[in-house]
Order: sequence, then structure tokens, then C-alpha cells
Amino acid sequence: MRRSALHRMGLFTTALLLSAGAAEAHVGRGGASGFTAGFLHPITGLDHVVAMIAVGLWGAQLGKPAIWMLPITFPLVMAFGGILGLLGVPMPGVEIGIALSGVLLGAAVLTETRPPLFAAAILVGVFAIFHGYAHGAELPHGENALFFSLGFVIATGLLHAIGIVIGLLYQWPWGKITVRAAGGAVGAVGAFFLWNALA
Amino acid sequence: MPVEASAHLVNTGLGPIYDGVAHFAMSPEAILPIVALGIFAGLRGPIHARASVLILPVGWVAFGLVGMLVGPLALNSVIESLPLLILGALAAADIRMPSWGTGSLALLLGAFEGWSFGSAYSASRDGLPALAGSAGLVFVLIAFVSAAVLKARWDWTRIAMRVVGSWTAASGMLLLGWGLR
Repeated sequence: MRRSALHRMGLFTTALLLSAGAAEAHVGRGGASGFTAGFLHPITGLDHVVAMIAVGLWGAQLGKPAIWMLPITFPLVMAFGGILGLLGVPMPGVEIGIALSGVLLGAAVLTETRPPLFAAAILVGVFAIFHGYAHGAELPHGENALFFSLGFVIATGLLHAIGIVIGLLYQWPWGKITVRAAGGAVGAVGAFFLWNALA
Repeated sequence: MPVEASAHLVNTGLGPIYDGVAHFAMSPEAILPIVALGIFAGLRGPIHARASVLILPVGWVAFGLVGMLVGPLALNSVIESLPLLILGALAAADIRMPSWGTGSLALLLGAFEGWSFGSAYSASRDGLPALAGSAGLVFVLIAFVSAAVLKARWDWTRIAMRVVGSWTAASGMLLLGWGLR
């Protein structure tokens, strides 16, 4: 009985395989592929990843209101940089700016720098424009623009969230060391990319 | 200027009302601004939420009917990014605004999106039930989102709502740049 059922399933599967036609879907045009491409775009570059995490780390270290202002304002400023990149507005030194963001944000977390809120916001905002510009200039043609943009923004926001969650450890003595060490690691990665950008 | 309708209507096989429901459910470019409006109205309070829940579906149906009669408009794709950008930014900033302002935004959004949906049905015999189906889901969505935000009492939930608004606005801004490219 069981063997008969298996036999029938085998025949059914074979019939399905033989009846399959050529695939004619528009791969790369749909929403799912656009979202995936957009989501992967910010997380496939280590220089971007560490800087985004550093923003979250620093926000958590600075406490309220920075901890919630950064994830609200950063995507908007970065998207503005993205527009500049999409439109091809000339912006020299983008790679240096991105690498510097890792160095300075990492150093700020490592040394527990606490500037006035507006100064921190301006610093992060300037770096957001560099990061957005680089992404905007690299955005591929032919993807679903809305889904790509959504994936891109959500991935960036989640990187901040990772930084904020790690930064929440700051309330414990051992957590302070961990957060500062994470800042040092970000700074080291940033210094590596800065070296490459200047070489 | 009206142009020839060329929308890909959804056919669920369940009748035109469900076709309209499915059409809206598969249109993130229409869903996201409504979510942003719901967040903004919910953050502002119950009067704003009530205005949105009442006015948005009415505007949707009214201008949907106009769209069915007139047909699609030849609009630049850049304009499609503006509802996302404006409503997302308002939700992110949690800007103070009189309730008539929120109602006006709901009417404008209903007019824009309703016209777009109605014009897609201009060549269809079953346009009216499809429009009613989409408007029904619009009502459910705006009521659900604004009520959920109204119920949010903790600081972090309100901040999370504003983050969603920020992400919506950022997506709209990128879409704008994409359209201008």
C-alpha cells in the first residue's frame, strides 16, 4: 500500500517535470528581487556597515534624545545624499568622507566624546550625505525603484538598530568596555579604508 | 491630459469587489502613504484620526469615480513619490497641525490615489464594485493604523512609529531621485 503510494507520487513528479515549459518570468524586474537587491546594497560594504553601526553605538552612548533622534533623522539625510548621487551632482572625496566617518565615529565611541547635540547631529548628518551619495551613485538601473528604496532604507535602519542594541550595554560597567571596544574596532576598520582611499 | 488606460488589473476570480481589494493590496505605492497618514493622524490625536478615517475613503470613491469617467492622467512618475515623501516626513517630524489640515491631506491623498485606481477601471464594465472593494480596504487600513498608533502609550512605540514615517519619507526621497534621474 505504502509502496504503491510512493510509486504514484514518483509518476506524478515525473509527469510534472516532463510537462514543465521554459521559464519566461521577468527576473530582476519584480518587487521581491528589487527589495532584496536594495536590502543587500548597504550591508555588502564593510565601510558602510561599521559606520552605520557606529551611529547607533554613539546614539546609545549619548542617551536621550540622541538615541531616538538619530534613527529618525539619519535615513532622511542619507536619502538626500542619495538624490545627489542619483542625479550625478559632483561630490569629490566621497570615499575619503566615508572612511573618515568610520574613523571619527569610532573614535567618538572609544573616547566617550560628548559634544553638544547639534554638533553631533551635524557631524553625523555630513557623513550621512557621503554615505547616501555613494549609494545613490551606485544604484542599478532596471530594478523596481520603490522596493529597492524600501529595502535600502530598512537595511540601513536595521544596522542602526544593531548599533543601538549593542550600545544599550553601556549601562553596565562591563558593557561600557564592550561598547568602547566596538567603537575602537569601527575606528580601526575606518582607518583601513582611509588608508586605501588615500593610497 | 487623459491618456489611454493600460493598467494591469488583478483578476482573483472571486468577482470585481475582491479584484478591487486585491488590486489595492498589491499596490505598495498606495499602501505606504496611507500608513504614513494613519501614523501622522494617530500621533496627533483622535480628532485627526477621525478626520482621516472619514475623509480618505470618501475622497477615494469620489475621485475614483471621476477617474473612471475621465481616464488616467499623464503624470510624471516623480509626482508618485510626493505622497510618500510628504506624509512620511510629517509622521517622522510629528508636526503640530490643525485637524482641518490633516483632513485636507486625507482628501488630497484620497483624490490622488482614488483617481489613479478609478482610472485603471475606466475600461472595465465592473469598475464601480472594484472601486468600492479598494475603498473598503482603504477604510480598514487607515482605521487600523491610526487606531493602533492612538493606543500607543509608551514613548518607544511612538518613536518606532516616527521611525516608520522616516523610512517612508526616505524611500519617497530616493524614489524622487530615481524619477529625476
